[in-house]
Amino acid sequence: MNQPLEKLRDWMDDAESESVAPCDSLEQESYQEAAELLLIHGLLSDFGHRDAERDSARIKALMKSIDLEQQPTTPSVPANSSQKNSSRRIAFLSSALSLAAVLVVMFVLLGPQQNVSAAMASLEKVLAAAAQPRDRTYKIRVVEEYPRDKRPRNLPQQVQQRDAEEQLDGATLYLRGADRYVLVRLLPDGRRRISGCDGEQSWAFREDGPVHVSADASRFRGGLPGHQQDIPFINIHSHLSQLQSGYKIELTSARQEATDGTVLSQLLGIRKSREIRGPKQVEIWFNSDNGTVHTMLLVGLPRGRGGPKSVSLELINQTDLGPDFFSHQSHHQPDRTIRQEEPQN
Amino acid sequence: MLMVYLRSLVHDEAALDDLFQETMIVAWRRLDECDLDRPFGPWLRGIASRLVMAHYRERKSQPVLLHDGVLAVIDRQLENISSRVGDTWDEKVAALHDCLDALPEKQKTVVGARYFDDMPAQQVADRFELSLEACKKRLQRGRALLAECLKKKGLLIAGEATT
Repeated sequence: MNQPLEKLRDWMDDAESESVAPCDSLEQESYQEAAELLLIHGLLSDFGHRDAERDSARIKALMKSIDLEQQPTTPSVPANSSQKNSSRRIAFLSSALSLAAVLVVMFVLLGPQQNVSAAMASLEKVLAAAAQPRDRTYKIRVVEEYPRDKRPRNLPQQVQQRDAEEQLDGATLYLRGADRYVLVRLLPDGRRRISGCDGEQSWAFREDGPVHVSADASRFRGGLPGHQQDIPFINIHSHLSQLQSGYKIELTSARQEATDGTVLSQLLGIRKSREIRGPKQVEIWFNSDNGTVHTMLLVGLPRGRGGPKSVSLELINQTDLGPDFFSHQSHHQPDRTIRQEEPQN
Repeated sequence: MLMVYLRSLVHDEAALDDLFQETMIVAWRRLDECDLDRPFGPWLRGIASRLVMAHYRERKSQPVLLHDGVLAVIDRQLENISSRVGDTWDEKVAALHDCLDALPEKQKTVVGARYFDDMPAQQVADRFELSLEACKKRLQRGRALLAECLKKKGLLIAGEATT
């Protein structure tokens, strides 16, 4: 063996060796051999150092760093440029999170916790995707209502009235990242009720009424399933976060193809105990490449203070909605009356 | 895949974590410079290799492995792996398990101790009552056999050296 390759061998196998031969001593014909040996060394080292917790911590640290990078206000950019950047970021995340994807299969070799760990790794991936400032539009469907006689009898009249008035079935939910949303619901008379949050203030109005604005980001979420049970229904990111702690998560072997040909994987979450105030079961179909949630089915929502038993969210669009879409001004005429709510103690 | 690339070039675990983070953050900042019409992996590894070089410069060492020609071959091999069928990295490199199983017992035991028990060569030599030199030769032979096997299975490409 020539001397540089021997030095390379020493570097790969000695505990303390960080420095090897000067690069100019390597013959050109040895590049292929040196590269192959290094790559085999890298593959074996990676295989031998698999540690789910450490990998997970690495991803969390990375996502935290990226969040910090994003904190300065992003200037408005033309839609084309924004879409291009968004595509880049998707590509970037796919690559960054391939580390998480690796975990899905590696546990085959690591014992009985394999399915749980793989599922958690997938959930991490879905969470990371949900936190990214990409625009997603979901259609909400009520899959099952509670029978009238099983609804709680002690609902305040105001809630019962609202329940009857506001239609969740067919509503459209627009999301960007973890803290921006717009929810458009139809009232029985055909008018629309629009509520949302631009990340700093929340707002709500009926098509023909004044615009209510609040500095409380969680305001105007009443009437949504799960709202009264600490389930941030609108905030998919927080909802998924809850899954990590309160649900037994399973990554199933089921695969489905979305209408655009995307291959979807399935995560199933079963509530661990009644003390967890959330749906009994959560079913998520997500893009296994980038973690984007395509379908989320919430089964057995707590009756709490009303609302349906099961609802589904179906991804219908991922195009960029523009920089101002999540502010209320984008959804009404400029002469509309604005009512700023005082902060409540 | 980035961690495999970094592990091919760097030993120190703490440094690996730092280099992974740094690579990703630099990539995030420079996303606008990334050409979407070209593969993403080589661009990311380009950033990583520059950071690895800086890492070694700080330690005043110049490893043979950071030669441009060697890095180009590693890059080409990783792109080949990346293009293989499979949803996950482990599906793409499944052939590695088969090749590990197919190693002769003499090589399999030392490779297992070196990489899966994370022992340096001296400890592996002590465990199997070998001289250090004999142990290193077995390890090297094991890696060479793995490379041959992976080429037969198409995971690695046999080709001309890249300059």
